[in-house]
Amino acid sequence: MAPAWYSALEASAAAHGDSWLHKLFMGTIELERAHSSQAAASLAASHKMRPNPHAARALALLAPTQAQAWARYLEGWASLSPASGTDTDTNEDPMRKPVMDALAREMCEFCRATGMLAELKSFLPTVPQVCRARQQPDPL
Amino acid sequence: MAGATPTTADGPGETDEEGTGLYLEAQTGVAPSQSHVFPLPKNQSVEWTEWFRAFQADPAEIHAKDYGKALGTVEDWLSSEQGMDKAHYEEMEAFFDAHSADAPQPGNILTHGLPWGGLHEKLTGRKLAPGVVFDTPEQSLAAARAEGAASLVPAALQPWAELLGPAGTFSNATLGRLPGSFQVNMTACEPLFSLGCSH
Repeated sequence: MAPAWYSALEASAAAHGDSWLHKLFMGTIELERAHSSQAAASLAASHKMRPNPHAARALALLAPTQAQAWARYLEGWASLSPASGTDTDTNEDPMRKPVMDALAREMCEFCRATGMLAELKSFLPTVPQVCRARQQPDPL
Repeated sequence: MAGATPTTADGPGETDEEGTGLYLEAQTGVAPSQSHVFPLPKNQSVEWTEWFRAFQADPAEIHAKDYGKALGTVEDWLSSEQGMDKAHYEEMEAFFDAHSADAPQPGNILTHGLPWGGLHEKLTGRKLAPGVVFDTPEQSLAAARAEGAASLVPAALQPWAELLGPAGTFSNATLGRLPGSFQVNMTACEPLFSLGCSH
Protein backbone atom coordinates (compact mmCIF):
# COMPACT_ATOMS: atom_id res chain seq x y z
CA MET A 1 0.00 0.00 0.00
CA ALA A 2 1.01 3.65 -0.10
CA PRO A 3 4.22 4.69 1.61
CA ALA A 4 4.59 7.50 4.13
CA TRP A 5 1.13 8.44 5.43
CA TYR A 6 -0.29 4.95 5.10
CA SER A 7 2.75 3.50 6.81
CA ALA A 8 2.48 6.08 9.57
CA LEU A 9 -1.18 5.15 10.13
CA GLU A 10 -0.38 1.42 10.16
CA ALA A 11 2.46 1.91 12.63
CA SER A 12 0.31 4.07 14.86
CA ALA A 13 -2.56 1.57 14.89
CA ALA A 14 -0.15 -1.28 15.65
CA ALA A 15 1.48 0.59 18.50
CA HIS A 16 -1.48 2.37 20.06
CA GLY A 17 -4.58 0.59 18.79
CA ASP A 18 -6.99 1.23 15.97
CA SER A 19 -9.56 3.99 15.92
CA TRP A 20 -12.33 5.14 13.61
CA LEU A 21 -9.98 7.87 12.42
CA HIS A 22 -7.16 5.45 11.55
CA LYS A 23 -9.63 3.38 9.55
CA LEU A 24 -11.13 6.43 7.87
CA PHE A 25 -7.78 7.81 6.78
CA MET A 26 -6.52 4.42 5.63
CA GLY A 27 -9.74 3.73 3.75
CA THR A 28 -9.47 7.08 2.02
CA ILE A 29 -5.93 6.34 0.87
CA GLU A 30 -7.01 2.88 -0.31
CA LEU A 31 -9.88 4.42 -2.24
CA GLU A 32 -7.56 6.95 -3.88
CA ARG A 33 -5.43 4.03 -5.03
CA ALA A 34 -8.47 2.20 -6.43
CA HIS A 35 -8.26 -0.63 -3.90
CA SER A 36 -12.02 -0.51 -3.63
CA SER A 37 -12.63 -3.76 -1.71
CA GLN A 38 -9.99 -2.93 0.88
CA ALA A 39 -11.30 0.62 1.08
CA ALA A 40 -14.87 -0.58 1.62
CA ALA A 41 -13.72 -2.80 4.48
CA SER A 42 -11.72 -0.03 6.16
CA LEU A 43 -14.47 2.55 5.72
CA ALA A 44 -17.13 0.19 7.01
CA ALA A 45 -14.95 -0.51 10.05
CA SER A 46 -14.53 3.22 10.63
CA HIS A 47 -18.25 3.84 10.33
CA LYS A 48 -18.99 0.96 12.70
CA MET A 49 -16.56 2.26 15.32
CA ARG A 50 -18.07 5.70 15.09
CA PRO A 51 -20.71 6.68 12.54
CA ASN A 52 -19.22 9.52 10.53
CA PRO A 53 -20.21 11.34 7.34
CA HIS A 54 -16.89 10.86 5.54
CA ALA A 55 -16.95 7.07 5.72
CA ALA A 56 -20.67 6.91 4.95
CA ARG A 57 -20.33 9.17 1.94
CA ALA A 58 -17.43 7.12 0.56
CA LEU A 59 -19.39 3.92 1.15
CA ALA A 60 -22.27 5.48 -0.79
CA LEU A 61 -19.93 5.92 -3.74
CA LEU A 62 -18.96 2.25 -3.51
CA ALA A 63 -22.49 0.92 -3.00
CA PRO A 64 -23.71 -1.51 -5.68
CA THR A 65 -27.21 -0.04 -5.96
CA GLN A 66 -28.71 3.41 -5.78
CA ALA A 67 -30.93 2.37 -2.88
CA GLN A 68 -27.93 1.16 -0.88
CA ALA A 69 -26.05 4.32 -1.76
CA TRP A 70 -28.93 6.45 -0.52
CA ALA A 71 -29.09 4.46 2.71
CA ARG A 72 -25.40 5.22 3.28
CA TYR A 73 -25.96 8.89 2.56
CA LEU A 74 -28.75 8.97 5.14
CA GLU A 75 -26.50 7.30 7.69
CA GLY A 76 -23.87 9.94 7.04
CA TRP A 77 -26.45 12.68 7.37
CA ALA A 78 -27.73 11.24 10.63
CA SER A 79 -24.20 11.12 12.02
CA LEU A 80 -24.03 14.91 11.67
CA SER A 81 -27.01 15.45 13.88
CA PRO A 82 -26.14 17.22 17.16
CA ALA A 83 -27.84 14.33 18.95
CA SER A 84 -25.40 11.83 17.46
CA GLY A 85 -22.85 12.59 20.15
CA THR A 86 -20.09 13.54 17.75
CA ASP A 87 -19.24 16.52 19.90
CA THR A 88 -20.45 18.31 22.94
CA ASP A 89 -22.72 21.31 22.68
CA THR A 90 -20.24 23.43 24.54
CA ASN A 91 -17.36 22.51 22.25
CA GLU A 92 -18.80 22.69 18.77
CA ASP A 93 -16.92 20.77 16.08
CA PRO A 94 -15.72 23.43 13.61
CA MET A 95 -15.97 20.99 10.69
CA ARG A 96 -19.54 19.97 11.35
CA LYS A 97 -21.26 22.79 9.48
CA PRO A 98 -18.95 22.80 6.42
CA VAL A 99 -19.27 19.02 6.13
CA MET A 100 -23.02 19.21 6.59
CA ASP A 101 -23.22 21.79 3.82
CA ALA A 102 -21.09 19.72 1.44
CA LEU A 103 -22.97 16.50 2.16
CA ALA A 104 -26.36 18.16 1.70
CA ARG A 105 -25.30 19.45 -1.70
CA GLU A 106 -23.97 16.03 -2.72
CA MET A 107 -27.12 14.27 -1.57
CA CYS A 108 -29.33 16.69 -3.50
CA GLU A 109 -27.24 16.21 -6.62
CA PHE A 110 -27.36 12.43 -6.16
CA CYS A 111 -31.18 12.52 -6.00
CA ARG A 112 -31.38 14.79 -9.02
CA ALA A 113 -29.00 12.66 -11.09
CA THR A 114 -30.74 9.39 -10.20
CA GLY A 115 -34.28 10.74 -10.38
CA MET A 116 -34.91 9.88 -6.72
CA LEU A 117 -37.20 12.84 -6.32
CA ALA A 118 -39.38 11.33 -3.59
CA GLU A 119 -36.23 10.83 -1.50
CA LEU A 120 -35.15 14.39 -2.27
CA LYS A 121 -38.54 15.69 -1.18
CA SER A 122 -38.30 13.96 2.18
CA PHE A 123 -34.64 14.89 2.63
CA LEU A 124 -34.82 18.63 1.96
CA PRO A 125 -36.83 19.57 5.09
CA THR A 126 -34.06 18.03 7.21
CA VAL A 127 -31.46 20.43 5.80
CA PRO A 128 -30.91 23.30 8.25
CA GLN A 129 -31.51 26.80 7.00
CA VAL A 130 -27.84 27.67 7.48
CA CYS A 131 -26.92 25.18 4.73
CA ARG A 132 -29.54 26.53 2.33
CA ALA A 133 -28.77 30.20 2.74
CA ARG A 134 -25.47 30.69 1.03
CA GLN A 135 -22.43 29.20 -0.58
CA GLN A 136 -19.99 28.13 2.12
CA PRO A 137 -16.46 29.46 1.74
CA ASP A 138 -13.57 27.12 1.17
CA PRO A 139 -12.65 25.97 4.69
CA LEU A 140 -8.96 26.71 4.03
CA MET B 1 -3.73 52.51 -20.09
CA ALA B 2 -5.86 55.38 -21.29
CA GLY B 3 -9.21 54.28 -22.62
CA ALA B 4 -8.99 50.84 -21.08
CA THR B 5 -11.77 49.33 -19.03
CA PRO B 6 -11.18 50.53 -15.46
CA THR B 7 -10.66 47.17 -13.87
CA THR B 8 -7.61 45.38 -12.57
CA ALA B 9 -6.65 41.80 -11.94
CA ASP B 10 -6.92 42.50 -8.25
CA GLY B 11 -10.20 44.36 -8.30
CA PRO B 12 -11.74 47.42 -9.90
CA GLY B 13 -10.94 50.97 -9.12
CA GLU B 14 -7.38 50.73 -7.84
CA THR B 15 -5.21 53.72 -8.50
CA ASP B 16 -1.88 53.71 -10.23
CA GLU B 17 0.98 54.27 -7.79
CA GLU B 18 3.03 56.17 -10.34
CA GLY B 19 0.19 58.28 -11.63
CA THR B 20 -3.43 58.87 -10.92
CA GLY B 21 -6.73 57.39 -11.99
CA LEU B 22 -7.84 53.94 -12.96
CA TYR B 23 -5.71 51.48 -14.84
CA LEU B 24 -5.78 48.08 -16.42
CA GLU B 25 -3.35 45.58 -14.95
CA ALA B 26 -1.95 43.15 -17.50
CA GLN B 27 0.36 40.40 -16.26
CA THR B 28 2.41 37.60 -17.62
CA GLY B 29 5.13 35.37 -16.26
CA VAL B 30 6.24 31.77 -16.22
CA ALA B 31 2.66 30.81 -16.99
CA PRO B 32 0.50 32.94 -19.28
CA SER B 33 -1.50 34.29 -16.37
CA GLN B 34 -0.99 35.53 -12.83
CA SER B 35 -2.01 32.13 -11.52
CA HIS B 36 1.49 30.71 -12.09
CA VAL B 37 0.11 27.20 -12.29
CA PHE B 38 2.34 24.99 -14.36
CA PRO B 39 3.94 21.54 -14.19
CA LEU B 40 6.99 21.37 -11.95
CA PRO B 41 9.18 18.28 -12.18
CA LYS B 42 9.88 16.59 -8.88
CA ASN B 43 12.82 17.80 -6.85
CA GLN B 44 13.12 20.93 -8.96
CA SER B 45 12.36 24.55 -8.39
CA VAL B 46 11.68 27.50 -10.66
CA GLU B 47 12.67 31.06 -9.83
CA TRP B 48 11.72 34.26 -11.59
CA THR B 49 11.94 37.96 -11.00
CA GLU B 50 8.82 40.05 -11.31
CA TRP B 51 8.66 43.73 -12.10
CA PHE B 52 5.86 46.22 -12.51
CA ARG B 53 5.74 49.39 -14.56
CA ALA B 54 3.11 51.92 -15.49
CA PHE B 55 2.56 52.39 -19.21
CA GLN B 56 0.23 54.78 -20.98
CA ALA B 57 -0.43 53.80 -24.56
CA ASP B 58 -2.11 55.47 -27.47
CA PRO B 59 -5.65 53.99 -27.49
CA ALA B 60 -5.69 53.94 -31.27
CA GLU B 61 -2.62 51.70 -31.34
CA ILE B 62 -3.47 49.48 -28.42
CA HIS B 63 -7.02 48.89 -29.71
CA ALA B 64 -6.00 48.57 -33.37
CA LYS B 65 -7.81 45.88 -35.34
CA ASP B 66 -4.41 44.42 -36.17
CA TYR B 67 -3.41 42.82 -32.84
CA GLY B 68 0.19 42.75 -34.03
CA LYS B 69 0.17 46.52 -33.89
CA ALA B 70 -0.82 46.46 -30.22
CA LEU B 71 1.89 43.91 -29.48
CA GLY B 72 4.44 46.01 -31.36
CA THR B 73 3.48 49.08 -29.33
CA VAL B 74 4.10 47.22 -26.10
CA GLU B 75 7.35 45.69 -27.39
CA ASP B 76 8.60 49.11 -28.47
CA TRP B 77 7.85 50.49 -25.03
CA LEU B 78 9.51 47.56 -23.29
CA SER B 79 12.74 48.08 -25.17
CA SER B 80 12.68 51.87 -24.82
CA GLU B 81 14.18 53.92 -22.01
CA GLN B 82 10.73 54.07 -20.43
CA GLY B 83 10.53 50.28 -20.28
CA MET B 84 12.48 48.10 -17.89
CA ASP B 85 16.15 49.06 -17.66
CA LYS B 86 17.95 45.91 -18.75
CA ALA B 87 21.07 46.57 -16.67
CA HIS B 88 18.95 47.14 -13.57
CA TYR B 89 16.97 43.99 -14.24
CA GLU B 90 20.12 41.92 -14.66
CA GLU B 91 21.60 43.41 -11.51
CA MET B 92 18.50 42.35 -9.56
CA GLU B 93 18.54 38.90 -11.14
CA ALA B 94 22.16 38.42 -10.07
CA PHE B 95 21.30 39.54 -6.53
CA PHE B 96 18.38 37.11 -6.29
CA ASP B 97 20.43 34.29 -7.80
CA ALA B 98 23.10 34.86 -5.18
CA HIS B 99 20.65 34.88 -2.28
CA SER B 100 17.79 32.59 -3.28
CA ALA B 101 19.16 29.71 -1.21
CA ASP B 102 19.63 31.86 1.90
CA ALA B 103 17.05 30.90 4.48
CA PRO B 104 15.25 33.96 5.84
CA GLN B 105 15.53 34.75 9.51
CA PRO B 106 12.31 34.59 11.55
CA GLY B 107 12.22 38.39 11.76
CA ASN B 108 12.24 38.65 7.95
CA ILE B 109 8.99 36.72 7.55
CA LEU B 110 5.98 38.97 7.12
CA THR B 111 3.23 36.39 6.73
CA HIS B 112 2.80 32.65 7.09
CA GLY B 113 1.29 30.34 4.50
CA LEU B 114 -0.68 27.14 4.85
CA PRO B 115 0.87 24.35 6.91
CA TRP B 116 1.25 21.60 4.31
CA GLY B 117 4.90 22.21 3.41
CA GLY B 118 5.96 21.91 7.03
CA LEU B 119 3.82 18.83 7.53
CA HIS B 120 5.35 17.18 4.47
CA GLU B 121 8.86 17.97 5.69
CA LYS B 122 8.03 16.40 9.04
CA LEU B 123 6.61 13.30 7.37
CA THR B 124 9.61 12.77 5.10
CA GLY B 125 12.33 14.18 7.37
CA ARG B 126 13.66 16.13 4.41
CA LYS B 127 13.61 19.80 3.50
CA LEU B 128 11.66 20.61 0.36
CA ALA B 129 13.97 23.42 -0.82
CA PRO B 130 17.12 24.91 0.72
CA GLY B 131 16.00 28.54 0.78
CA VAL B 132 12.41 27.98 1.80
CA VAL B 133 11.42 27.91 5.43
CA PHE B 134 8.22 26.15 6.38
CA ASP B 135 6.75 26.42 9.84
CA THR B 136 6.69 23.19 11.76
CA PRO B 137 3.18 21.77 12.33
CA GLU B 138 3.44 22.89 15.95
CA GLN B 139 4.26 26.46 14.89
CA SER B 140 1.42 26.44 12.36
CA LEU B 141 -1.03 25.24 14.98
CA ALA B 142 0.07 27.92 17.44
CA ALA B 143 -0.25 30.64 14.78
CA ALA B 144 -3.68 29.40 13.68
CA ARG B 145 -4.96 29.31 17.23
CA ALA B 146 -3.71 32.84 17.75
CA GLU B 147 -5.88 33.88 14.80
CA GLY B 148 -8.95 32.76 16.69
CA ALA B 149 -11.89 30.49 16.18
CA ALA B 150 -12.38 31.46 12.53
CA SER B 151 -9.37 29.45 11.39
CA LEU B 152 -10.04 25.88 10.30
CA VAL B 153 -6.34 25.11 10.05
CA PRO B 154 -6.29 23.38 13.47
CA ALA B 155 -9.09 21.03 12.39
CA ALA B 156 -7.20 20.24 9.20
CA LEU B 157 -3.74 19.91 10.66
CA GLN B 158 -4.18 18.59 14.21
CA PRO B 159 -4.79 14.90 13.39
CA TRP B 160 -1.72 14.68 11.17
CA ALA B 161 0.46 16.64 13.57
CA GLU B 162 -0.56 14.25 16.35
CA LEU B 163 0.16 11.22 14.20
CA LEU B 164 3.70 12.45 13.59
CA GLY B 165 4.14 13.83 17.10
CA PRO B 166 5.49 12.21 20.27
CA ALA B 167 2.22 10.40 21.07
CA GLY B 168 2.14 8.78 17.63
CA THR B 169 -1.64 8.56 17.66
CA PHE B 170 -4.78 10.68 17.84
CA SER B 171 -5.84 12.41 21.03
CA ASN B 172 -9.29 11.93 22.51
CA ALA B 173 -10.15 15.48 21.50
CA THR B 174 -9.27 14.74 17.87
CA LEU B 175 -11.20 11.48 17.96
CA GLY B 176 -14.23 13.46 19.10
CA ARG B 177 -14.24 15.66 16.01
CA LEU B 178 -14.44 15.37 12.27
CA PRO B 179 -11.12 15.69 10.43
CA GLY B 180 -10.61 18.81 8.38
CA SER B 181 -8.27 17.32 5.79
CA PHE B 182 -7.26 14.05 4.19
CA GLN B 183 -3.72 13.16 3.21
CA VAL B 184 -3.53 10.59 0.46
CA ASN B 185 0.21 10.80 -0.10
CA MET B 186 0.92 12.02 -3.59
CA THR B 187 3.95 9.78 -3.90
CA ALA B 188 1.42 7.00 -4.41
CA CYS B 189 0.10 8.81 -7.47
CA GLU B 190 3.43 9.38 -9.18
CA PRO B 191 3.15 6.28 -11.42
CA LEU B 192 -0.21 7.60 -12.65
CA PHE B 193 1.23 11.04 -13.32
CA SER B 194 4.12 9.45 -15.21
CA LEU B 195 1.66 7.55 -17.38
CA GLY B 196 -0.24 10.75 -18.02
CA CYS B 197 2.90 12.58 -19.09
CA SER B 198 4.19 9.85 -21.39
CA HIS B 199 0.91 9.05 -23.15
